[in-house]
Amino acid sequence: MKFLVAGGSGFVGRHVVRRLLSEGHAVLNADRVPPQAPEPGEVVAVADLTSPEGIAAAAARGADAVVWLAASIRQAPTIDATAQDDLRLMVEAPLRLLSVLASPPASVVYLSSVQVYGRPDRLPVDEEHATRPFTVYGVAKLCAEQMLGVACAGRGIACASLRAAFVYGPGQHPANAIPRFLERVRSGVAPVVHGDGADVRDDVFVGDVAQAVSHAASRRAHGVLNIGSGAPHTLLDVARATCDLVPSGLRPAHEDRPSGWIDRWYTIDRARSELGYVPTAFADGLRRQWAEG
Amino acid sequence: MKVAVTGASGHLGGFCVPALQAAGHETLVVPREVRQAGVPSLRTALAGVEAVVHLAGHIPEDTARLDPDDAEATLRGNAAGTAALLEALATARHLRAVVYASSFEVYGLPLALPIREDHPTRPLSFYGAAKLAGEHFVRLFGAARGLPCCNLRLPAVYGPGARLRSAISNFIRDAAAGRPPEIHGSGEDRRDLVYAKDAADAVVRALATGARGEINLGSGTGYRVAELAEAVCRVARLAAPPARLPSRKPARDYVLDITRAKQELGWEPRTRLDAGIAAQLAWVRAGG
Repeated sequence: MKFLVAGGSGFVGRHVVRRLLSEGHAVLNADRVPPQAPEPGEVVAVADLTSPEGIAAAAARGADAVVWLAASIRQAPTIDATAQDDLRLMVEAPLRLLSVLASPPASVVYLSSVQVYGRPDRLPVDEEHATRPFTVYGVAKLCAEQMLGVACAGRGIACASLRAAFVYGPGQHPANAIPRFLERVRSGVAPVVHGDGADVRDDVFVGDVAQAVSHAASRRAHGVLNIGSGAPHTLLDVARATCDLVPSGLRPAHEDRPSGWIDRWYTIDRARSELGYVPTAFADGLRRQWAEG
Repeated sequence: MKVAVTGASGHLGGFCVPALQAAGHETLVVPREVRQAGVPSLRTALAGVEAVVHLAGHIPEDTARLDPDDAEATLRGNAAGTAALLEALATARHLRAVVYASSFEVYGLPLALPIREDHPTRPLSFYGAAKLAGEHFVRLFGAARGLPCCNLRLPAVYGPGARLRSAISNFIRDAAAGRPPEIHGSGEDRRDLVYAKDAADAVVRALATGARGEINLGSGTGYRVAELAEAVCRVARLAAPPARLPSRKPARDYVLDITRAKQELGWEPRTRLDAGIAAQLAWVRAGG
């Protein structure tokens, strides 16, 4: 299949592009910036996807499947100038892409986020859970899911929105908890958890997100699907697992300060049955990140 | 209070401005040109306001249409337009409340009737999705500022000035032209509606009570489509009964639960159906 990956130069994007190429697909990566290390066979279109010219450049070669990963990074609860930018990049741009593609793609896969749920009413959170996002980013992702769903339904296009949990793995931004823990362990220093470390987290391996994207496109999946680890753990579990990567006998350190964390855990039954999704065990994903950075 | 009103020239706006003034508020109309000129011009226009009633939005002629161009215009006119307004209000120091006119279309397919505010929001139209994003922005704004912000979810609004398509307005246009109203399908499906003046009353009450969160407006009971057509025939004194035509789309009941509006706003629809139809019919007949 011919894939158009919007936002293929980012953290998740690199894994998606590599996976699709390894499966023998043709891949056009349309992104604001070129990838640091393009893959053999990857076609890159450097394009501002929020402009009509950028979308035209992305759409020029056509696509059997569209994968939309492009998103803002900033996740604020306040409405400022970035709210309109978020809507342009995360909602308006994919809608415009659909309308300018010369022939409709067979499937659209939109990378959404568990942020669309907001504060969980219950755990685990399934796809029927209420959606009350508390960031502008979450509002934009939810709006995109719904508008793309409507647009695709009207044109016979399969449209899957993948609500990814917290994505970790090689290439992750260093400011996040897991890279910080790895960095400390690499320097021989104990990772620090706030409070008792009992925060419940759902960390999904980036390769699993790429797997879900590929399957969603090839199976022409439809609707919203959680993409999580299937095995939530605590922050203390994460810290211990990073310590276990080295034989130094490091133990997590505790810092007595409230974490303010909201426990998260997302069901993946729907992804398992509709995508044949099989998540990677955390210890295995962590070792990959340890080895590859 | 000094209350800014967007969409003041629209159907609902035409009822809200006098209702707010009658309640003792000073109203400030925010014209479309000011909103379209961007956030700085909006910020200047909104200096010193104590409340905002946000009625402006882009309603596609037919919300069931799936044209991608409609999608962009609807997104900009509702979600982005609301984000711009709230961004401009970030510096409004005297602001005490925001009321946003949303739509029952945020719900999508009803899973239970009447539809309560905690019903899932899975809109099936661009309009519903864009309005819902606007609601979420209003909710986030209220939470961040600690201000009472309220999303009123309106069914079809009728009354003089109604230009949008809805069962009741279509029937009234038919009747005004001397044609019997056309019912598609059995006419047994239930619809909800609110008279524009009653909706304006709810806006005034939402400001007065400092209402927060989502609140449905509606008739409380809903009306069968055939019942609406018959009421229009009766009020218009048409000799012929409503015309029966084949169904165009699957029949679907939409009735909103207005318990919250009663409890939180002390609101209920005051205008009787026949009186509302008579007023709209007179307006259409007068060339509206």
